[in-house]
Amino acid sequence: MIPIDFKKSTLDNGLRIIVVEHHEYPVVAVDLLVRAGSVDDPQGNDGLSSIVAQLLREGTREKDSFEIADAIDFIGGTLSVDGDYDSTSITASALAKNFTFILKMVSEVARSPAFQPRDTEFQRDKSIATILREKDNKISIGNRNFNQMLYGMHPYGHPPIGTVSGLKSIKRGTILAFHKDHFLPNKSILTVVGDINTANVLATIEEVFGEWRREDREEILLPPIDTIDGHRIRIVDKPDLTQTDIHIGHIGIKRTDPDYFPIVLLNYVLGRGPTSRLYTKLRAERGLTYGVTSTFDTRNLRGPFFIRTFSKNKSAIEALQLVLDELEKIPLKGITQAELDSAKSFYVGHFPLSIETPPQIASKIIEQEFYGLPEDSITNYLEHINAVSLEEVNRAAKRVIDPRNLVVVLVSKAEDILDEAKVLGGVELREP
Amino acid sequence: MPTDTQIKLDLEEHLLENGLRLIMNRSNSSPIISFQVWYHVGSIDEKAGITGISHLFEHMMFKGSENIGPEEHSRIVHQHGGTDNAFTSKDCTAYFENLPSSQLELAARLEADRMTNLRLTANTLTSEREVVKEERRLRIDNSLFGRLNEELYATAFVEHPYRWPVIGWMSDLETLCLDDCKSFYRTYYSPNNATILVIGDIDCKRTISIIEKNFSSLQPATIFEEAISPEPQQVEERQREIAVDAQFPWYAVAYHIPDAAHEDIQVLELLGNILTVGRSSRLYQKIICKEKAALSIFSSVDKNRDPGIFSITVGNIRPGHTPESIDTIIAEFLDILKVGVVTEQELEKARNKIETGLVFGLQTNFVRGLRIGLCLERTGEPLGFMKDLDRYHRVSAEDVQRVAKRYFTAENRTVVRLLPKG
Repeated sequence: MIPIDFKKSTLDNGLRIIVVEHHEYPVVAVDLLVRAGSVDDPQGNDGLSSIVAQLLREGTREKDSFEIADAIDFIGGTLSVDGDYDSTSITASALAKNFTFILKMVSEVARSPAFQPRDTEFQRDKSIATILREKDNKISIGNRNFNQMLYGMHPYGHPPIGTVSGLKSIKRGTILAFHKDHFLPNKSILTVVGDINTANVLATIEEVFGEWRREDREEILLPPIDTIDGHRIRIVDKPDLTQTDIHIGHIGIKRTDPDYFPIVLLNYVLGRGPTSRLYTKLRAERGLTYGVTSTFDTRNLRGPFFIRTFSKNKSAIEALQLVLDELEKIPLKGITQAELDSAKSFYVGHFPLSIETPPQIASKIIEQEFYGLPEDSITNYLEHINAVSLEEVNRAAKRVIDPRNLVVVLVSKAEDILDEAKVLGGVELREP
Repeated sequence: MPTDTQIKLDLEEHLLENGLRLIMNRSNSSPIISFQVWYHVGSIDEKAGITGISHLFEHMMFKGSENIGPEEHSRIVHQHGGTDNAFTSKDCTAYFENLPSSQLELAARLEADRMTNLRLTANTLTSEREVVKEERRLRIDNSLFGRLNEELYATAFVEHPYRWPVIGWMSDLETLCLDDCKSFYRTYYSPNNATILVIGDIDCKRTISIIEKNFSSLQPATIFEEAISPEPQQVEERQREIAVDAQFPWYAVAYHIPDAAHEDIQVLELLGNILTVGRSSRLYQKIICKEKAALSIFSSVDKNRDPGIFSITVGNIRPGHTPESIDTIIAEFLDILKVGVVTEQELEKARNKIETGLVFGLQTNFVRGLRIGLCLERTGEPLGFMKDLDRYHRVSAEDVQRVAKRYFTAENRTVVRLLPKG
């Protein structure tokens, strides 16, 4: 058991609260996580949840955008919003003496945003420009194409910021309705970490958030996530590139997958850090890339499994082929006991480093709470890791890695790689 | 400074007979440490023709020694729950292991080993050269900011080694050879050119004995203090344009400023903060919010061993605006600083932002080590950043005006633009 000291509580309106005391430095962070993200964007309004999130700090019933920014800047604090796939978070941090101030600020921006037409237009315009800017960045281009090919019409098919057409069609009324439907205490988790006193904090939270009214809403039904059939290869042509960005993958797992721990260990062996198979093959032995990683982006629904790397155009397909070869081996041969032991030994030894700061501790508790994981997920983390057997890992490997059915996105100067890429299968050519 | 935000940071020091310096900072809240080795060598020590060798060499430090195979260093650290990496800057090169405190001796043994026993072979150089070229393609050649920033330094500096990028010119990366690496290793990788920082859950006495045990037998090297060409004073404005494949133009302006130890540095930091840090800052409000002229703006104050630059970068200039119109706005705001005075409220806000940012960063052993190491390398004062807190509080509105007048002159200015082709 790992002793992690925290207090959980729930207000009458359903707002769940997590408090972590940590007294080494005189700082505090407040985080309000709302279960509403781009997964809730209605069809045709891609980017709605993100624009709502961004607009929260652009003005409330009492303060305009500048007044909010100035008040936070003056105490040297931070106030940020993040619209993600499954959730929206509002995070503020400051010296501990400013706790009540930032708590009230988080409450104000979350609960009474003004959504003034002028601010809405400003934000819409800015988001559209940000999407256009993606065309200057091969990673963003790769990401957007990869997820779109993987998820199609499902809301995971676009990044939270949305699409230009989606943003253009969002009306102010839709924004107000989204906020009303989703920003509710019974859909939120409030976390406070830092140099504070738990009892005082709980009393202050009751005072500030106690009046927030709960409302029960029906869950939205989402289109199903389709699977990929065969290899789907897309080259996005950006003629100025001398280095190709490579994304390979398919649909992965939910955070609540029963094989979560075996898959974490499997993925470490495949493509995490400087001991992984992919790193060894592509970088250490061949010098084909500066970096290669594999990721299971675990979400509420099945998030993507993907490998990302990059190599000069001349060796891009060679690098891609090596990745495919390594992927092929995983379900076929699995990993070895020595590899599993080494992965376990990393996660067991590394655990204290992953909970060094109060925000790191809090993020683990939030994750447990948000996904409704078993209460012992963190405290018995080491036991969970140690209990994984080679058989479990290799069985999971067969189930979750499918080298025959993949999406491949190559962002590159097409003429440099097209002929070689065609050898791997049909290639679709696109503009950024 | 208000007493409730006062933080204390205690260091203990020990000097080995071979010249290796050990600095310790104890914090027992969690059973982990950050073990860092800082070598006093960076791209500032390079010569034309072998630019990028400090960084390429940093990569070679992971390719094995007489006792350890290629990449094995990282493998062993990971197997014990740690992570490791390194970075090279203009002034220094640092290697670190963040790991459970029970593994202090492991880190010491591995670092001592590669300080003297590194095995440099033609094979590993061949593959690592390619890795570094890929890193350069990633960070510079295929990155708009990378190209803008590289051009800014290459234009603002004409003599001093800060004119080339830390990663080096591609042509030099192609030709660096094994003998260059061997000679670089002999010259700069020795106990008397290094400082070890151990931060976190340690017992200082025991740490000293572990460091003594692993490092005391290493032989010091003769360090030649080679003269570095000073940068001649700039006498007229410099401008560069680069045509790029991009949606939007970019803009950067730079002014030469003194080295990290100079007292004007804190004034410049406050001034840069008032202009661009936080959504309520002057230029953020003007350029991003009011004019909607661009998507991003930030400023940076070099804190280097030798004099560096103060710069403002504006990314993704939107349709209806141009680098020229951005230039006019920035010039106007800099001129305002020369004739008017910033308010006490603005100064206080800037101090608070800097101070809180500092305190938040201190929460991890790794970042505490980073702060200490960087200050040591740049100014010789490991706790310089704590002393700077007092300096920020002494800066007055008149100082801001004086500094603006002194550095923001036409002849001291360099402007670089990225312009979309066609």
